[in-house]
Amino acid sequence: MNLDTIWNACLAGNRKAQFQLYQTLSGRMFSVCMRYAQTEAEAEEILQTGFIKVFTKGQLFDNKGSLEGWIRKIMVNTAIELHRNKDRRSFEPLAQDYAMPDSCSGSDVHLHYKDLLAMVTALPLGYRTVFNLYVIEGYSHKEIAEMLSISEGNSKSQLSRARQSLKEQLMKIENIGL
Amino acid sequence: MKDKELDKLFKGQLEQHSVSPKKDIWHKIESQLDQPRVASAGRFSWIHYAAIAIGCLGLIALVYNMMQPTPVRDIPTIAQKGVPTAPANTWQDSATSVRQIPAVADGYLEPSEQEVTKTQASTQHASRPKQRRPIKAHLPQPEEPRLELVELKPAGVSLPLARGVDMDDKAQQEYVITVPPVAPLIDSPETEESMLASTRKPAGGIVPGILNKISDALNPSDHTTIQFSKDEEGFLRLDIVNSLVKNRNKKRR
Repeated sequence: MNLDTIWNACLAGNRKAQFQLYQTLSGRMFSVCMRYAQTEAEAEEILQTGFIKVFTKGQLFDNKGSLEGWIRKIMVNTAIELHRNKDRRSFEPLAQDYAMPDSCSGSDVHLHYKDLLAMVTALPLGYRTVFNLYVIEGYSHKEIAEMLSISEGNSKSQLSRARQSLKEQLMKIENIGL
Repeated sequence: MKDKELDKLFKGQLEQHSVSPKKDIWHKIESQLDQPRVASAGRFSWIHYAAIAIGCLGLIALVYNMMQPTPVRDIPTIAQKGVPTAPANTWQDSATSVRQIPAVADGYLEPSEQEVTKTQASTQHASRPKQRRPIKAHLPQPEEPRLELVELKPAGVSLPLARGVDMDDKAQQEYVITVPPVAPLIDSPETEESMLASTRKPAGGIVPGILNKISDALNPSDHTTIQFSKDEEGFLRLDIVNSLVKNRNKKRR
């Protein structure tokens, strides 16, 4: 069944079509949520809230871009909203060292998805959010500044520190591998 | 490692990866999709009822304000024969003024009724409430204004006769209209402010009336604290009376 047909049925309130859309996109969307969340439970909360928004505010989708891109954007915004509501200190400096992933132990230095995800998840919330938005999602610093209500300079600074932290962690893994 | 290499590594691995969530998440989504309809309907109904209640209260206040008789405030009345009357501040005053003024008018205008000019002049005076005082002042001595008019030389205006009409000197003299000199609008500049103060006050209007009612309802013990009014240009005016005094009292406590 075509995604557009499923989406039209979703707009009509067809629960089966909504389930089909969820089954089609939930895996990729949950991956997005995992990058922004600190725990799996938090990622599930973002996914759940995001899909409810998709089904209740589907009329806002203007069919100009791809449906998956629109849903991904909703997930990202939901994650930012959740962190804002929880009133966490988003831009605190990195205080704790990165915990070494299990797959990096021994001579196997090949970095898998879980290892990289664990590195990103271990970043402080501010570093993690800016890194995800800039590197993975492809937003500009200006857009990130507007989304997070920070200055462009702050966004650049957060990205630079996130990169530096990730480089240090990668160097540690390489050294252990050698 | 350069920044670009780092970005490429993470983007390539993380961007299109898929992780299946737990199965019970869909059940949670499904249950929540049913809940918001009830919640939103309840919220809408609450807002709807609140809007209806506010609308009803506003309508009642408007009707109550329109049903109340508007008090007559300092409306200057003009006598039928061009004789000015005193402003009706109270019913008693207006009655006395109506009783007195015909006598004044008769005594003052009786000799001048034959002349058109003086009648016109008196009607001009009557249209101006500022000329009331000189008439009352001359009541015991009606002779004085005549003496003043005699001393001044009135300007004469001769009307052209129609063609083919032969008239003698007497008839021509009857068509000569004498125009008295224009009397000053205000005899004494000192009384100008008191005259202006007696003009009609601006009407309250519907909106200030409703706002005053609401203000009285909210603060019935001290209803003069906040007063709404409307000036002649239509601007809404808010008077906060004795608010600083209250604060001062609070500070002293």
